Amino acid sequence: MSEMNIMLVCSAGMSTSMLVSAMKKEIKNMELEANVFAKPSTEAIEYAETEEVSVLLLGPQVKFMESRFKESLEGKNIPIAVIDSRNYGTMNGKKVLQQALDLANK
Amino acid sequence: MGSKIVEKFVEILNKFAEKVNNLKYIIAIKNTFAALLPVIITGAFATLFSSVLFNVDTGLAQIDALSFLAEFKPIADVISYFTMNFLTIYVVFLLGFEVAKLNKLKGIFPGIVALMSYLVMNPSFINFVTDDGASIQITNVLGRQYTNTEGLFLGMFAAILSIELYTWFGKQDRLKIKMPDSVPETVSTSFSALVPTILIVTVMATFGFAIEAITGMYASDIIYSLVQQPLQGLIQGLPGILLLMLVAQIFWVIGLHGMQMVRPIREPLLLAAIVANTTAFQAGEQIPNIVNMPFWDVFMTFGGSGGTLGLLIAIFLVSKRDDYRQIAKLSFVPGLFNINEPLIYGLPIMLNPILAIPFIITPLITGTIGYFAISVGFAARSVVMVPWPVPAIINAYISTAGDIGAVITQIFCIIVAVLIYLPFVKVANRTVVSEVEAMD
Repeated sequence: MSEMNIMLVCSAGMSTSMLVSAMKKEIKNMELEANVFAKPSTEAIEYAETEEVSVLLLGPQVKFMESRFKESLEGKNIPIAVIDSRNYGTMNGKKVLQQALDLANK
Repeated sequence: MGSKIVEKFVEILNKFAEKVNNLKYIIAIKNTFAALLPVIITGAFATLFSSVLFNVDTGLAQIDALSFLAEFKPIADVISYFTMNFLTIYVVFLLGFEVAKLNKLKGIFPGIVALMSYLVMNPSFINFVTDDGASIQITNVLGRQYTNTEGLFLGMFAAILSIELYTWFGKQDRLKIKMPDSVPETVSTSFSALVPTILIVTVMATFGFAIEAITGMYASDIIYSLVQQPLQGLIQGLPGILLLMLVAQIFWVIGLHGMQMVRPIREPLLLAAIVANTTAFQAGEQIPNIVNMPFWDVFMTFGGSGGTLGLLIAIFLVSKRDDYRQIAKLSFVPGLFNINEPLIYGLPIMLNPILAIPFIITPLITGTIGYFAISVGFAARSVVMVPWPVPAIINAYISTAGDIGAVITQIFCIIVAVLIYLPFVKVANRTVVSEVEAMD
């Protein structure tokens, strides 16, 4: 499998970047080949259309964007899901990373 | 909180959020104003710079040895003018571009189409009345009211209408100039924009002309006085802003981004309000608007939506729950920068019948306090835009160009927020056992 790119999306990309650091730590621990990064919702679709994205996770606060993201990125075949709110709130990098990995391997 | 009615209510709000946020123009307007922030901050920066350095009453220029600094004020003036007084121009371009993007049009040319369409609806002269009552017409100029935020609503309308027309024309094969096959594709596509552009700009100019011919007023002036001004009045009054905040808070309580929900209304009106204040401040005039973008951030969302800086302090003071204290520790640094998702989803506040109450009422109360403090003249009105992640106290100080009354009022608001949250955090202490059991 080529290197995995996990994209997290929230409103401004601010709170999600905290989760990104937690997930990066976890990736290091598990010695995985994966990138995690956060994007604000205004740029996310455009980015996913042009760049390599393996999994796209939405913050719970923007879950109402899920249908639009799925629709806009239909041709790209990127798995899209909403992060569990409790895992998001506790910045649980391990569980969110697991969610991303599960989604990618489906 | 398992009652059926609540579940139904949450479901309806979720559906509503999804519907509203998938509306094309809502998406385009939100993206436009997000992209506009650097323009407003540039203007804010120039204005502050000017007031601290070049101003002979407030700045370093008041010191005799440094009085030459006043000579440089035109630099700040020109930046202020072409950011703050040109906001509508940038909005129209960006909005046209964003709508076109959502209509799957490529390139930035639609931004130009939108801008031309808006500009041709306005007069290219100003009627100027001199002191002795004579009226002079100055030609070949665009009046300030058509480039500053007074033109905002017509500009947004013109951008949307022109790009929809442009998209529609683009789909009509009959209107395309046919080129022989031997002509390279790049050449023929450059002609494809020609007919739609000519048609749309002509339509918009005629539209503007007809309105003026019939009513004697320009479209921009009509939209401003009939739509924009009343809306501004509504949102900039205390009840209006509190209602907007209430809506945002209710969406946060069901776990959705409340600011995203109110942004399409809030951004145009509150950004216009702060920009008007900046312009007045730079010109040394009376500051017009109490309620504006920094008002929202300074008096209602310190620590994040719900004034959760108060909640953080309350938890550190009285919470006996390990889970609360842990989340509060995790949230403290982000909280200083007004990021509170860990609190909302971690404690959680979301769908939490105890914490939802202070979360909703705190910003309403502190907003009211801020409003009255400004009304009676204790705190100054904000004069420059400050980005929302700027910490409390600093944002109050900068946005008012150094008003201590505003800082004191904000500190008072934070103390009030702590007092509102305290009893609820105490109540939450008692529920700890049952919830841990429920989680297992």
